[in-house]
Amino acid sequence: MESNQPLMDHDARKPPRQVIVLSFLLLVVFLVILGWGMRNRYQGGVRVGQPAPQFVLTTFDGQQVSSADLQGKVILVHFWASWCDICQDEQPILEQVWRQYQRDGEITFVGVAYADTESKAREYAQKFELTYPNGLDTQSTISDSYRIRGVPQTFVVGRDGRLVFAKVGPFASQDEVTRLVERALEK
Amino acid sequence: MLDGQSNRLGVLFLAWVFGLGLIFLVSERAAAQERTPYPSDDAVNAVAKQLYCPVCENVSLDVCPTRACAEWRELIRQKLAEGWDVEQIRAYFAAQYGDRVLAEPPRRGINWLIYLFPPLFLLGGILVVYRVLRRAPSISPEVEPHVPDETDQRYLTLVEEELKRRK
Amino acid sequence: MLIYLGFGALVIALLTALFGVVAAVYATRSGGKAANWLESARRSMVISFPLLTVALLCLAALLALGDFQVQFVYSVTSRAMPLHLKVSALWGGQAGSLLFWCWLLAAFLLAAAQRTWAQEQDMLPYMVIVGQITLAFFLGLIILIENPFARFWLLPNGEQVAAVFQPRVALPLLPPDGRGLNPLLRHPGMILHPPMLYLGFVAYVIPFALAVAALITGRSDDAWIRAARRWVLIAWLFLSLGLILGARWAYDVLGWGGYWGWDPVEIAALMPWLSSTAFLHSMVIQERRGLFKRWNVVLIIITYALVILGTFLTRSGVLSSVHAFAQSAIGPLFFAFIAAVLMISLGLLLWRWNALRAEGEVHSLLSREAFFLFNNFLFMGVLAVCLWGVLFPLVSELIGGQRITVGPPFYERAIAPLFGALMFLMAAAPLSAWKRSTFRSLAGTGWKPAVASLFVPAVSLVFGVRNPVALIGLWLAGMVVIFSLYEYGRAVVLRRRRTGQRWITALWTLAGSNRRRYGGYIIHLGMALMALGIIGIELFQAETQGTLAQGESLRLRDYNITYRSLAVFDTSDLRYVVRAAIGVEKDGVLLGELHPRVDYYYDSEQQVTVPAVRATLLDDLYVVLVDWEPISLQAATFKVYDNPLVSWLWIGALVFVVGVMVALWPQKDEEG
Repeated sequence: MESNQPLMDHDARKPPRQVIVLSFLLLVVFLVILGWGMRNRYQGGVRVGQPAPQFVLTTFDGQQVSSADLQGKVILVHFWASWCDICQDEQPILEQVWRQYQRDGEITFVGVAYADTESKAREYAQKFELTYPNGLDTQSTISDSYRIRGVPQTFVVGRDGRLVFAKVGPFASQDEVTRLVERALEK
Repeated sequence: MLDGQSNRLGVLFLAWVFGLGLIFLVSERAAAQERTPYPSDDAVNAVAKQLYCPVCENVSLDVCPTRACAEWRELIRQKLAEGWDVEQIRAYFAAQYGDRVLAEPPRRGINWLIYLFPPLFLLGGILVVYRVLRRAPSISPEVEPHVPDETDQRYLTLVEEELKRRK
Repeated sequence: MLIYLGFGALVIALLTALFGVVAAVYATRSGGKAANWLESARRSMVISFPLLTVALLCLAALLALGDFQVQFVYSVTSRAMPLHLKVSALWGGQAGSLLFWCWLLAAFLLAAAQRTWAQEQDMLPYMVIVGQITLAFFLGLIILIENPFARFWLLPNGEQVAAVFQPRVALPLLPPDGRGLNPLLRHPGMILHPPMLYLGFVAYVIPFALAVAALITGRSDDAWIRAARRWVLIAWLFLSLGLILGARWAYDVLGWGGYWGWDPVEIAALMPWLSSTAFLHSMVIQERRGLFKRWNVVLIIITYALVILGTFLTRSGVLSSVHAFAQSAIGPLFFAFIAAVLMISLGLLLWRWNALRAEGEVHSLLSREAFFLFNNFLFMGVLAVCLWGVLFPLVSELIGGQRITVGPPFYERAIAPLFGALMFLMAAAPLSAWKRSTFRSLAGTGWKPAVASLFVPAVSLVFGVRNPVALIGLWLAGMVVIFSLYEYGRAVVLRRRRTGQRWITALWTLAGSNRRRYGGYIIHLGMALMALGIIGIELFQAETQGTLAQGESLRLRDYNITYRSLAVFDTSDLRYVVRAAIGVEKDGVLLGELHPRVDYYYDSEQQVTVPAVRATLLDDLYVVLVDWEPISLQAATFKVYDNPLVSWLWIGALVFVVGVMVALWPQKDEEG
């Protein structure tokens, strides 16, 4: 239109205060949502030294394993899935170590099947003759609380309920697990 | 102590029960197979299309190439063979793997927000547009120029002038 | 050597950008030397480009030479890759992408510095400030966090580190081979898709800078709009190209028979497109009528914010998405940048709110303005649905603690009617364009093409289309085509009558007489054709899947596909390929052979399903190799799609691009 309008007049009324406050408020809400989402994503898994998340797992035998009942004991939480090939390599290792320490009663192993079908997970547990409690993670509740990034992933919870160890990926040898368990038991 | 005869009778009876059970079982299975034929890939995919892979992000289950997804499709097939319908399978998946496997959040609780927002925004938008239109002085007949018939030569020249002006 | 050269260029570019900001700030202070400072500031924009070109070339050379000690080279290339892929791997990873982004931004800043600023001298310093701060921010990210020149070093304790300079007592670590480019990114569409998208994203920095300059200097005239116009159009062109190439790539490579999955990252790229499309329409109103001034500034700010948000979302992994790249430490900084941009923009906008009043001398709201208003309303509606759909999972997780998916059904339900309404506007608005029309006058001009357009659903009905949504969609698409052609035809007739030109000449010179207007018509035609393709694939796609033994067939609609054989072989670029040969028959006539395949890449240990497509104007036959018996090769599972009309999506896209080109072509009396 008629262009080259003179410069704006600087004393022009500002919009009403409510409008200003409201628009900034909306912007802040938007940023909070975004920031919160980012923080969540960047958190990574539960870190060593932090209190380990509480969980209740229904095992394939229909029993309930609750972290609350296991207080004062060391817990090794292992996430696996029947569709995960590398999980298969370490499964016998874990079972061996479990059989070795089972009798002491100082440590519990808990196997959590992440996003798995019930029949395949049961088949898998039978195939590797898993004797420690294993169960399906319904709705991925436990996996989400541990913020796992994939399977296999293993966490060790100390007697004080804090995380002692976290590992992404499979164990290389039985020794590695034994050493780990020993260290957790010593604490 | 049982005598020989009754013993024999007992065995016979057991065999009879067992045999009957066997026939029953076999016929039951045959009947089941008759009722629900082995679900085709297309039937499985039709259900899988409505579900999302629980482990990969934003990939629907019918096209997801991973092994895990193949197993979930197999699970769908199994459920279909058992006579489940789509709704039941969806509910089962949501219960097993969480709401993230559904293509849309279920309509409950906080999730209503997502469905309510678009219509609310639309209403708000209509309100704003209405206000902007009303703020302008109404289109009065004096301001509105005469709109001639389009075959009218005068109109054509008018258009032509406008064209020139724009050029 | 290349590493130090490249890194040095980066550091100098950062210092130059910072110097430019300081110089521009000095230039705004009225003093004797303001003009000198301003010239220095302008020159800082000129010098950034050659510096970043050096850095980019260094990285490209490192990629081409395969120096795997460089972390970035290691993570995106491997020895087996052909040269063109090695170089295009530049944007196959985070660090390279960011450098490429900066280089493009510098190119745009250079172009902006070269234009004549005589009339907008007062805006130039703010242009420099905004442009150089953006550049400095991204360069900072590159230098401090995502350094493409970082190399692997081995510390004495066996630890590996990545750094540009050799740490004390560390030894260079040279991996024998790289990990190779993500195989999904080796497709030609994907080689070009990211640069186009980046070009689109980056080019919006300039209009935003101009809008901010207008806000700060308090100029309420159209200077910034006139200066920004072409930039927005260029950005819009590249963004559109990026989106289209992305769709084509998805169709060709992802193997799910579709082109658009309403994935958060796709939507992140679509959102700035929506807001800038709205801007392209509403800026015309400001230019001609002085209306919508605030709104135009708002739109440009929104567009820029969405561009940064889009970059952030695609690059930081905040959203769950198939595209979510590796998480990286740039997230928090990016977040701070977005927050600052939004806060400052909002503050400036509110500060100048009342000064941006519409000029008061509007006597009647013309129908053209009304149509543009509806257009903007609808685009904002689509944008709001998209933004809400993308953000809602975060909200839900925040409040309800549940992770949820917002997938296609939600978007389709909410957006389809809005797009329908937009199509209607596309058809009707040009008719009202130069008439201060009422309903009666509009109907007077519009009834002929409207009646003609009924022909489209009528014919579709005859051909057996019964889906009401499809009928409405086809009708609307037909309306756009017929109305646009009618409008153009009318103008040609007039021109011929006036000038006595020949038909062809009249057709040609008319388009030349108002390129933006007629370019716009061509764009609308392209959109209508694309709508045709979308209706075809969305509403009439058919699919079937089956496991076939050799010689067996699968039927889909009129097609009969027969499994002939399966070949398994290795290629020289280290792929393991499983390739099926299937015969395609239609109505009993043999049409030829298709070869769907699966490529397994040894270097990256990933596999890609490559569908075989037989495309015609009527429909695409799209075959995916799903599974096979690995040893005997006797049986294989195929998924077959029939995608009607989808070719028109790509044809429409080409028409669309031609339209933008026409609109962009400089007109004699137009200033750049």
